[in-house]
Amino acid sequence: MKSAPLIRMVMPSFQTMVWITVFIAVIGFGPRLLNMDGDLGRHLTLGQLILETRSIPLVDMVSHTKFGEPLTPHEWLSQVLFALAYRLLGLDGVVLLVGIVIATVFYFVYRQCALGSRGLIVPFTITLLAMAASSIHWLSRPHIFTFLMLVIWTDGLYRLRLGDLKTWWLLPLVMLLWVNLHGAFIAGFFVWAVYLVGYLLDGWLGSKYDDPIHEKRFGSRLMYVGGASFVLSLVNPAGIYLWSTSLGYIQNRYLVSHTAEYLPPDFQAISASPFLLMIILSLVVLGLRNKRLSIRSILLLAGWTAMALYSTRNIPLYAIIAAPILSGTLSKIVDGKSIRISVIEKFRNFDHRIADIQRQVKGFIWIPVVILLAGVLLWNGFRLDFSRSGNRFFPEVFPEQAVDWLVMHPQPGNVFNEFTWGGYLLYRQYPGMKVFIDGQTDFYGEALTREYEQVITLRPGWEKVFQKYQILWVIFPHGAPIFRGLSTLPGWKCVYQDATAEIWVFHP
Amino acid sequence: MKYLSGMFQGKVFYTAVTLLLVFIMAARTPLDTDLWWHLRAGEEFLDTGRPVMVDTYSFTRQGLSWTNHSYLSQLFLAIAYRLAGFTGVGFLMVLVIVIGVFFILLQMKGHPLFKLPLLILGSLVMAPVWSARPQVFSFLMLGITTWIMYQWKNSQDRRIYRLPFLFILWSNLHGGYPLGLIYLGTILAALGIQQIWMEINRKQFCENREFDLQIRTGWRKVFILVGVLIASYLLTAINPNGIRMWLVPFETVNIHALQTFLDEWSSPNFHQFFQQPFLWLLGSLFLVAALGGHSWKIEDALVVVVFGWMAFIARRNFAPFSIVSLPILSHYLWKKVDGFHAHPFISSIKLAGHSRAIPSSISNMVNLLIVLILLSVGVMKLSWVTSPGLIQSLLPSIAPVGAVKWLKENIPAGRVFNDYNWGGYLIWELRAIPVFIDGRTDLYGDTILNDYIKIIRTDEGWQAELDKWEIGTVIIPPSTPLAKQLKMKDWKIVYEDQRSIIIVR
Repeated sequence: MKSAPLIRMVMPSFQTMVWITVFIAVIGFGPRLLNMDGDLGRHLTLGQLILETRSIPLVDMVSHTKFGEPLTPHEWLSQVLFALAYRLLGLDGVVLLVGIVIATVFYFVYRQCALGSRGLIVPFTITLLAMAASSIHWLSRPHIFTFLMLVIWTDGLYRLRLGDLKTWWLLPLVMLLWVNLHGAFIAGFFVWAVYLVGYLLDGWLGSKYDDPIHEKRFGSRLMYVGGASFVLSLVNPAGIYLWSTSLGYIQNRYLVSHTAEYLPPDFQAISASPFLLMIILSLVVLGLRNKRLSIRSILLLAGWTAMALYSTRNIPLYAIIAAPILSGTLSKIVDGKSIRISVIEKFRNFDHRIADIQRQVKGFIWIPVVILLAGVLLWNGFRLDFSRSGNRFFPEVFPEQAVDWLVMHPQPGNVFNEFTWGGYLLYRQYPGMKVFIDGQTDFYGEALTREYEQVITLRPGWEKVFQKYQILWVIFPHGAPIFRGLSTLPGWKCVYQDATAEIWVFHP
Repeated sequence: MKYLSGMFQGKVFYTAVTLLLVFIMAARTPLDTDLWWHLRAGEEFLDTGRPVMVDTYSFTRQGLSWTNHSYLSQLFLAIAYRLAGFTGVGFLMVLVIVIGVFFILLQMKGHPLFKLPLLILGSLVMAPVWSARPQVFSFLMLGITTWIMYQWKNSQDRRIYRLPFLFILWSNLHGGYPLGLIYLGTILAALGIQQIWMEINRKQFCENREFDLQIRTGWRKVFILVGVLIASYLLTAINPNGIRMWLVPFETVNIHALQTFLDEWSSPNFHQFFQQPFLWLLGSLFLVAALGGHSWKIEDALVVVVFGWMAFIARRNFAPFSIVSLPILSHYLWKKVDGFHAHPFISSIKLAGHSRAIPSSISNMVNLLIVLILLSVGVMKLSWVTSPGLIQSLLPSIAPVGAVKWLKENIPAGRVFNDYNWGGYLIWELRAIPVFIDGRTDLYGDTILNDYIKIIRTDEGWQAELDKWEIGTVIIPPSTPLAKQLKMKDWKIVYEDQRSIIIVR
């Protein structure tokens, strides 16, 4: 049964509905995206700076502690995209951009899940689970572009594996984009290496191929992809130093252990439950299936599970990689089991029939329509988030009123600021002020982060850090321990306080 | 001698070597922050002939009823301590651990040389919680429970009817008996699912009498297990705490401060090396499942899921996970290994496993020598790690030795607020001074734990809490926010060393 061409073009496919569902979910949680993380302000500031100066800064320009020191701009393109979205629609534009990116990620995830399944239910359920697991790190920051690039990259490699050899050259171009969007492009090389190891091990183990000629060509194309991608990964403002920056940070135990997103997930938090469910489900599904998984899938699943258990920020990447493997394995169990309950059997047949119909519809048109509609509504001031609070920085999270006061009463000299507020202060005050520190710990490094920690924990000698950096004023959360320390020093007094922030100033 | 040396061949030899290696791993200095109050409670039981059931050690819960679910373990600890000091305590712990591991070993499949690395891996997972505490008895009880169930599942062993009696002993030894109930419940759920699946398929085999018999036997097993499970739970009330023991698991889980405050109740942190063996064990299970070849039984999959989930929620459940999953891992991995006939290395191992050892007095003597050497190493390690000199040198790292000495010589002003981890040691050393808090979290509950957290972290209202509890003396580590705050206020430091500080109002 074939549908008429027009209906096929207009009727939304299940994949399109997945896109729309995720998009609505992200837009609905817009304010949460903006307020869960303090780095957006920094990205917007640098993005605006690049757009205004039409050059990518290669030295620090936003802090007084590292001003003028060489900087690896590993997220410059994401920052430009965020700044463009902001110019278009303000913070609504940022949320809209994040929504488009994350929805597209799960569009691809669902597509990969559906490839290995006859029905709709299993791939859709696993995609939902992957969505829930990855939502732990849905934030308005360049990391989301790594989600997108990873899913496109794995999709490309998978298609290469299936026999689509002619388009191998697209993958290095994806890498070119990736290295300029975000520093986690190394994830792509990890996946590539797994494909290579899987290919070599399959050969070593003497697996019999359906098409040996294709296998040989696949191996050579894989090498082309790796080589060309490496060469193109050097095409970025920092060149080869981008590699050392990205690898250097994850090797620094102190910084990794002091950055919340690099810590392991807390499984007592409900937000980590979908991830745990995915791990447990993968173990059960693999156990109940008596056929061997491919070496590639084993390595991908095991590697990304370990990395996600090590750092929360890897959970979305795990979800993207694991979902298709899990869906394919579960589908084989579900589709292969003989079920004697007629209702379930009928439901399964119905699921297969719907899936067959869905494969024929191509209603992509709904995606631009939804984007346009959301954009127009946001442009006209409609609040599309579930809480109806609008996309804004919350004054309970960021020092909004304190910065309003600073606008009226600018403070001279160097500031010592709360780490997570660095980005917001830049967003509101740059170029009028430069911060002590902000969320880019890979740039600020271990030494400065240790000094920052020494001050906020009032460890012996903390006053010397103030002297070293000639700190004349402090902005920190209301009631922070640092103020107890400042109250014992001569010359320091509180000039502003509200429920969120306090500002203390030094008067010699 | 001939008979003795003959014993040290084949499986007996490998089993002895495996257990002795575990002995060596488990022999450690029995210094745990909770050991002290267990010892004191055990000593009082020994002296009075009655277990301690009312709190007299703290002023925050003074005179209130204490569900002392570990009184029997405390008695054993106190006897061991009286007989041989810390060496006695260390030996008791090693003995309990080795017996527990022996029951795991009994359930594992394959050649002893194949089991050895798996058991070492499992021991590494369990090792962080092998401390001188009654929970070690729970691990032993869980090992015995899984072994009885293993026997029953494979050969309808009638020892399953003794399980409820094991639970009586368990609930008198430690409050961790719910682990056994969870295990039984999981097996029951798996059997139930299997039975339902068979009932669904009954139509296809309607003429097959063997299938019918299989279904009937299956339901019989389900009913037996339901009976055993209910009886086991009900009989846990046979102890001095009575039916309050039924509430222990629910009360403990409901203490929210536990999860946020105590490391062992928190979610795993895989940045710490000592927690990574859990990942290796999980990874091994994952690999065995992914390599396929043999579909897992539902009960095995369910046991791994339930205990794996618990281990991810609180890392104190690493040990139970290891106990229940090691036999499963060995079962499927051995099937996989056993299938590799062609590989020379595997063949050589299999040959060693199935062939008879050549009777040789030399090989027997060598084996005996190896066992004796390992035993000597274990005994020497145990006597070294429990020697008074080493204990004295390590004690200051976990207890405020100097500060306690000062408190013995000087009468503290008012009530004493103490660090949570030092409560047990103060109970042991300063018998006349009641503490604010110690490791008996189920006694203190959220109320006292939250008061403690507020004070020690100097959260808003901490001073009011100090006043409320009429605290006159504070004994805490000098690096805590409270110490820094009190130094700035009108409190006076009367004692200070690198690890502890005493501040009086």
